[in-house]
Amino acid sequence: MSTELSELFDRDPLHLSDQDLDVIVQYQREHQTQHELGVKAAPAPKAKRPSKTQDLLKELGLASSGDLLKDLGLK
Amino acid sequence: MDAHPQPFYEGTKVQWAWDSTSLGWLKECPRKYQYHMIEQWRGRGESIHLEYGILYHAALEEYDRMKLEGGMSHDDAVRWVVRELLTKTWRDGLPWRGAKDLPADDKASLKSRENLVRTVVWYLNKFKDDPAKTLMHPVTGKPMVELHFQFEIEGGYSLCGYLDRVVEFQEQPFVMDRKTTTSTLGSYYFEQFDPDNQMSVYTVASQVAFHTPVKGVIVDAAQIAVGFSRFVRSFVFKTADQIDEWMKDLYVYLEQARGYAERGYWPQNDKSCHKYGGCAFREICSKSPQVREKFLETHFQREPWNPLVPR
Repeated sequence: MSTELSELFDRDPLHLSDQDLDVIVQYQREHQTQHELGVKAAPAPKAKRPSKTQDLLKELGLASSGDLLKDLGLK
Repeated sequence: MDAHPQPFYEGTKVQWAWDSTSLGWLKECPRKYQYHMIEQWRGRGESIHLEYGILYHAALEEYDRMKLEGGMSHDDAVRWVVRELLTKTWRDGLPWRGAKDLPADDKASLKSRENLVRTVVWYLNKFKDDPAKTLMHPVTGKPMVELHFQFEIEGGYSLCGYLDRVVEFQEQPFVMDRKTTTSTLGSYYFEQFDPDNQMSVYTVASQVAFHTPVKGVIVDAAQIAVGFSRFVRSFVFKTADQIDEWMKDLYVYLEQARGYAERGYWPQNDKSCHKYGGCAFREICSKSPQVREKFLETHFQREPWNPLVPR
């Protein structure tokens, strides 16, 4: 929610003008249109978590499955 | 002192005025009925669901009245409704906190003031040219929205409640029942309404109280989700034979309720505890009987449910 909208929601409704209410309604309509068009906020990039296999290989002193394959002469 | 008429026969716990909510509690589990209806316990999340539902219903009702009775344009009626919503959710100089104090994993936590306004505006935008037209009352000439009904049935009992809206859809009359939920609106969600106690009560009510022989109920559901609201409608059809059967069953349940009240004991139905996402009293019933009262006092609040009080 935008700062302007938050400010309107936090204001005593008796002090809201018709124009203020139109801002709220318009924002919601645009939000709905965007949602229906499939426009979504870009998700925050996720930190890549090492897989369990990689953890295990690390514990065995092997950097990655690629290294293991190399060691086995398969790569 | 509560000045409203009471749904119980005086000096007893025998309920004579029944709505679909109290009947639903009884059918699910007599102990649940005891905690909710007899002892008036209500969980915090339940109170929010209830209040949210009342505000949502009132907003859509107000919109219908402003347009059909007041002759307002769509945009003026929407503005009116948003102002009403914001005013009703302004408590003691502060915005209604709604679900803000609930843990994020509580199902009710999505039911906030902002999401309520969003849901109402989105609904009215989506159904601006609603193919389901509100019928006008044949006697009063007023829109058939938020209709209170109360009528006597056999055995000294009454059925009462509210119909959200009576509409004409494809030249057939239907009751329209509005729901808000945080569940996904798929077939799994709608299957719970057929068969369903509430849908049967509404079909009977429209026929008996309003002489409108409806074909059934349109479930008009709104899903409140993170970042969006979604609306899906589904039909529940009822034949005359199905309604007869439901009435026959009803009398059996009402006599059971009388028996529990006369014995002063409402047994647990321990096969219901985990249904519908889990009963609010599951934690209580899992405790030893002598400590339950203490847990109820800590985790619940008393809020009477009276089917005879206008909402």
